[in-house]
Amino acid sequence: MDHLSIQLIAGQVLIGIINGSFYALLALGLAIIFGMLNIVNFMQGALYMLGAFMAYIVGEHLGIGYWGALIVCPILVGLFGIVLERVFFRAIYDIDPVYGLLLTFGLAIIIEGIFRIIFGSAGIPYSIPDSLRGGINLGFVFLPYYRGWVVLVSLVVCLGTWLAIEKTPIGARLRAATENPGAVRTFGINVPLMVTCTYGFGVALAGLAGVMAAPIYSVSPQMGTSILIVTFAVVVIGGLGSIVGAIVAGYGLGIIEGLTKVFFPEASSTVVFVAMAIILLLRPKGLFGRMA
Amino acid sequence: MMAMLSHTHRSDSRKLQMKLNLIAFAAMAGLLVIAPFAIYPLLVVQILCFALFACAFNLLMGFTGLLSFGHAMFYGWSAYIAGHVSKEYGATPELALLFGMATGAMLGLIVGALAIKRQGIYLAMITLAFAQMMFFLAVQMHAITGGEDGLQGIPRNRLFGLIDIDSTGRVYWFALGVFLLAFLAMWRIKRSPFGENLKAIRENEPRAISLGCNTARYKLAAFVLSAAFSGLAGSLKAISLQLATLTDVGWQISGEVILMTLVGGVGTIFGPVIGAVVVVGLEQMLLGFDDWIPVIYGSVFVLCVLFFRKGILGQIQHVFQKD
Amino acid sequence: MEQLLENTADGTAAAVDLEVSDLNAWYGESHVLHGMNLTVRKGELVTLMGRNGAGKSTTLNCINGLMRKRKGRIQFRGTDILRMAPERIARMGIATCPEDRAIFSSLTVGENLHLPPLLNERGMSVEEIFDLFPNLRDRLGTASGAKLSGGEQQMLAIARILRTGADFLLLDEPTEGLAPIIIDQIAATLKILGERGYTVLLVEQNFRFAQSVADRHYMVDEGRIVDQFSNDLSDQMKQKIEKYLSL
Repeated sequence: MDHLSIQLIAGQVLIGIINGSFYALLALGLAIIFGMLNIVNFMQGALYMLGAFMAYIVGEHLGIGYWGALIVCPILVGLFGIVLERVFFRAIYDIDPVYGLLLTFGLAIIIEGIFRIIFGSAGIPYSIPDSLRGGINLGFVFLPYYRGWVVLVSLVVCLGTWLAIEKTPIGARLRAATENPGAVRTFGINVPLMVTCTYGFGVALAGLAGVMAAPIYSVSPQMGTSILIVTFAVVVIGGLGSIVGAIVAGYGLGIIEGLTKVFFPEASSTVVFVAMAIILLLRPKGLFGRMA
Repeated sequence: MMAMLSHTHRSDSRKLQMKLNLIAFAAMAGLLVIAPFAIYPLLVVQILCFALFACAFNLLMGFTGLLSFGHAMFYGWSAYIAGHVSKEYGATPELALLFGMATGAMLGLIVGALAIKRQGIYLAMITLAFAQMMFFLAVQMHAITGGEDGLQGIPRNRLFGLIDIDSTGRVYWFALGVFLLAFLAMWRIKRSPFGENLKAIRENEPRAISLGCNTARYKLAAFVLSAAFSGLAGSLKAISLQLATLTDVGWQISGEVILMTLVGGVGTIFGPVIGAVVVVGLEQMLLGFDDWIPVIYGSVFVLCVLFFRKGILGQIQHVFQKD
Repeated sequence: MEQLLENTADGTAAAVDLEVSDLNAWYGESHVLHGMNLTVRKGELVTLMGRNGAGKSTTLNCINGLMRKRKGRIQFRGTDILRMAPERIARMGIATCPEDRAIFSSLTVGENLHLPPLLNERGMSVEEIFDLFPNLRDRLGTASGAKLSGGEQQMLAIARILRTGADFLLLDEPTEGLAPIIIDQIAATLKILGERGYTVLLVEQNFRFAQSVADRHYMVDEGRIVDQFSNDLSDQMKQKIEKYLSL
């Protein structure tokens, strides 16, 4: 293989890892929320978009810049999610989870619609923070600093979340409440509060992904839904409700998508769905799925 | 004795229900015959296509309890295929409709075979994902779909090679005929032993399995039927309105058909038709405020899920059954 | 009936811990408790006995707050807890060991043991717990609670609520499906708990076991108390009790 095509492959794999970083963050949020609330959160895409717009509004107009936005926006998105959970979700916990999907779908198109009214459907430019401009030539590939930063943050957040859930006492409470919320409540643990906080954290991950996406992808009202649908396929591949599955499938599919761009560019937008079909044939529960 | 009494009472109420349904059907058909004199006919055609689509969707969600979030792929792709064969090969309308239905059925068979064993929420996600794949394919397969432009000016060829339907007035009767026939066919399916089995599966799947019913096969059959009728709706739309575009195959349409069914009444016979009238009506009222349509749709969704899960017709039936 | 009640009052006027009066409960539309009345004094071990579906577990789930649709009065140490959320009730010192044991398969044995938060300083130390249940010590590192045997799971389920300092225990059929040797161990544990002043409300169908540990018995049928007597009289009442328990 000649030098050029190695560079080409490495470049596409890098783009794949970056896309995968976003898939993983979004899928992780979906998995956590589904585990705890038994709801597939269709709003995840809309809240990702909200995060990106907030980065633009809060960062550019309130003058706290990218770094301020990176901290503030996920928190704001999380709080917004908490309000929505408190106001809307209580009525649907005891009925078919399908209604949770429909409810969050409705809320998602409301949020998206409002942003379209305010900002129109055209994208809004958002620039990379000065401190992360430029890049480094790794020999086989040129790595822009900002993209490296995105991958780093995503990896740290995914790993940290996984560790927190699998290895800490609070994580143990979360896992237990996922299995049998009633029993956990009889120990004096406030499960409804945990549910609300979990939702807040899950959507804050979407908000974080949105802030990080703002300088890379164009910020537009419809940016959320298209990535969300791909994320759904990622979640099905990883196994619904599986934290590890969400992370592994997220990065893995990003990379597969990148490689497809090199070898079979026409299929790059559909390869994730083809992968989903194959997984459904071979391993219907998903790669790491536990549930039926 | 009591059991017999209550049995006759039940069959009485079934007969009454049937009578009411027949009256409703006659009223609907009557209204649709007058409608084009009061409302722009092509608008009514649009309602008919959506109503047919929603009825087909209801065949799955209402009668088997399965939620598909990807019905746009059947609707949209059938529209493309029906348009394509009309345009490129001069297929007669009835043939184009058949091609469209077959497209829906085949897609339904493939997606259904992969997805049907997964319950509720999983099925919704899988169908949504596959529909998105079919959307991307529609963008790419220029030769058939016309890509971003879609298929414009699809010809209305002669019905059976004989009857000219190429005018607003004539195409209305064509669309109405197709709609009423398809509506009756779906109603018949619901009342058939097959439909009864679907109902049994929806109400208590473990019990149906223990009675020896191959529920997966029944569900797949329902999925394919629903996809085929959705395909009929899509191809009817392509021929009557002479247009098939990416809008027809996008996820918004999948959401819209859920909304129509939900608003009208999931599982009722006439609910989806009412839902289609409401949704198209809303769209007309909001003409000029297009930006607000998603917000309104979303709000209707939220309200329906929170307070109004039976839908308009379901609510009416509920009130009457109480008396 | 009158006589029996007098016998239960053994002269010492212990404080009433729990008083349930005219308790009604529903699963959806179906009415399952029809005016349940019972009293548990401090330090007592009281059983609820009856057939499957008589309403014993439902009564426990009303007390710990998991039952949603309930009416009547439940007083715990002078506070009405009927409308309280389960987690608040738990923090008042009521702990539950449910019938399915609720051992979590996604938690290690150690995590299962340490899951319930401490309510006060009066709970048992881990060492004391291992003295009671020596088998648990070796199993502490087991990766999943689901890998324990039925008996070990039951011990773990009891052990973890003893750590917290709760002193009013709701035990739902702790002997169900267990080998006699393990049942004996649980009986010994309940005796030690009695000496330490714990109050226990025990749901049981195993009469011999109940007789070996309890102070008093309530017979439950069709969602209400149909009989009650002191354990001293349980030998005389044996036939009657067996009739209550038979199908």
